[in-house]
Amino acid sequence: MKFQAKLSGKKHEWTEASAETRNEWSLEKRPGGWIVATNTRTNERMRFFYARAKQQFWAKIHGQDFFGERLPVNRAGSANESASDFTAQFPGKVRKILVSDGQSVEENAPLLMIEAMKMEFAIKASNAGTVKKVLVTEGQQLTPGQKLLDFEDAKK
Amino acid sequence: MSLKPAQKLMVANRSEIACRIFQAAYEMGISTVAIYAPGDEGARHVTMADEVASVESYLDAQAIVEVAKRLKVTMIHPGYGFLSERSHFAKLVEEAGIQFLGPKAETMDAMGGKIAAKEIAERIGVPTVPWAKLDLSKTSDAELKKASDRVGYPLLIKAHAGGGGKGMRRVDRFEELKPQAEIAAREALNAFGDGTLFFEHLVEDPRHIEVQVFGDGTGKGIHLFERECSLQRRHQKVWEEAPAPHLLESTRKGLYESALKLVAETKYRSAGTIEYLVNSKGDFFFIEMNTRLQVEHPVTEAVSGVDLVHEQIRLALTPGQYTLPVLSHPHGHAIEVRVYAEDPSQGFIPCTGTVNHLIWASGPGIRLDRGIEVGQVMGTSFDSMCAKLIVSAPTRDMAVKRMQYALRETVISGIGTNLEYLTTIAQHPRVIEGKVNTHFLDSTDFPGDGGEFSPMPSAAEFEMFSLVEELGISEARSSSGGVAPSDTTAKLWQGLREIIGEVTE
Repeated sequence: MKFQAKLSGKKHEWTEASAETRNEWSLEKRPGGWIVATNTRTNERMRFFYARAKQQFWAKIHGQDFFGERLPVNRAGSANESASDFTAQFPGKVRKILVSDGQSVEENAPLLMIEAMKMEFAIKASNAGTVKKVLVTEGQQLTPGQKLLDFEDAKK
Repeated sequence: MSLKPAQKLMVANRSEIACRIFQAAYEMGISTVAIYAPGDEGARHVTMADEVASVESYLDAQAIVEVAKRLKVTMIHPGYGFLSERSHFAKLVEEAGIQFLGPKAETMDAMGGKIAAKEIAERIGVPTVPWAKLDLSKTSDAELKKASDRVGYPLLIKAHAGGGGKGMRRVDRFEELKPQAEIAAREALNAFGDGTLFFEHLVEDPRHIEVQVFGDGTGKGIHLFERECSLQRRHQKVWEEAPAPHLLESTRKGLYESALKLVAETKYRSAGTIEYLVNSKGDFFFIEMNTRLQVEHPVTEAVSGVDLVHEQIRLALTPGQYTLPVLSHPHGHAIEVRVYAEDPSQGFIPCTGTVNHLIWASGPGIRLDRGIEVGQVMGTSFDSMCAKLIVSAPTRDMAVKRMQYALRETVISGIGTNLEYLTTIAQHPRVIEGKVNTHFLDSTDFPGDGGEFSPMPSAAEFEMFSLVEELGISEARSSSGGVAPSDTTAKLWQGLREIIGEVTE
């Protein structure tokens, strides 16, 4: 099965371990949670962290922290992710609606501005596609789980 | 020191600061009371306290004081945020016969308003950002020159009646002043029906430097050196250090002297902070006073050797016999970073979830003040700060290195955090040099914002993650929701201890 990584709102190919990597590296999960990888050929040793719960993963490797999603890729080549699922994650208020019904947008295009906890956030398109219907109005209070808009991914 | 019997301390706050205050209480033989609001039942401070009580909100002053009376609390520490600078809360507490670990209510009233505090500062000769108000139609050229010279260049012209940044103009020389002022006055008249102008000195490349003070309430007080808090993201401090690097000795001396003047003038009681802007020439301007213990107090504790909460408690217990600590100079250098559950790559949106694994840095010169535990649910009802990581070392260079190490050794999984953002700060040449100002993190010099900040693992790193998946050791072992009961936690740890060795294809 192939996977795709989604980090920082961007998608990226999830590289599977090559036969070479598989043969050369031996992994050990240490008490405490670190994973130590040892290269059986060169004796190079590397310590990193990787944990996954459902689709979400958290990693620390070479001093860098990453967190994101690991998404299975179906045969058509696009991730099995419901891009049209725009729901409010936390209570807030709709500050501004930046798109209208029927509008086509590029990947990462800002769709709505949400205000929560004294900050403003942009809700962005996770894929290129079409805004079918905006389901909220400016100034509206949001409750978690509330659907913001209907969205259809562009055909790949 | 003899303690009065049966002291009981309530923290009218939550999370890491409540835990930190509980430690001080334990060390002084005082029992502890935690309060918690709905949605915060699983918080760490609720586990830590000797007694707990629920309240509807951390802002419900009346209810909190009622609980304190019912539980026979003898002192209340307000922490920071919430009710910490509300004078009516301090008043309610003291009226209930409970000691308030902070300044007097009247000091909060006097120093709480920015304008009122500025007036007090000006009266006693503490420099504030210079300003002038004038009506151009009634001002001669000579008067204009005099006023603008007093404000100093560069200056900002604003409409006195306006708000925000509307119609703001920057002027660098007197030659530009009159034409610019005329345009601004016309605009102000059209927009607000009032052409009165407000000139304000523009502090260029400002650094945010603050002085920690502690007063005994009679007018006597000490300063505990300064902190540099210039690394801010949209006015939110992220990285704080003590002492401030590259600061002129004359500036430092001036900061301390004026801070002590304010302590004496207000007969300040307990811990407080005087905030200043400092320009590149070393001129400093008072901006405001924070009448509470601050988030970044641990860096001061590290370089002064003074436990500020101990001092607050000691002062409350024996006000008549209290003696202020005697300090000569700061020892070494300390840095604090604030760990937030937020996603820097997506506009710093708060991250929610259940913490499923924690690895904390420890070792020489590393302090951790934390509010989270494995199994704890991070929601959005409260501030997203989960911990503060503080390092101290003999030199600043070593403190920066130590911070890099501490961040490298810290792992938080189950929720997204700003750890990578903090690492980027800790490794930035300008930060390593210690040459920053309050605009730095929001500027294009730093890859912190606007979607620029999006680290991506390399192909080789992804391969390692894939190997972990293939070996079946990737599952985070926490229960998926709620607070993990202790027996589950024990099993969880046992599970993590299993070692999978020498697995090859």
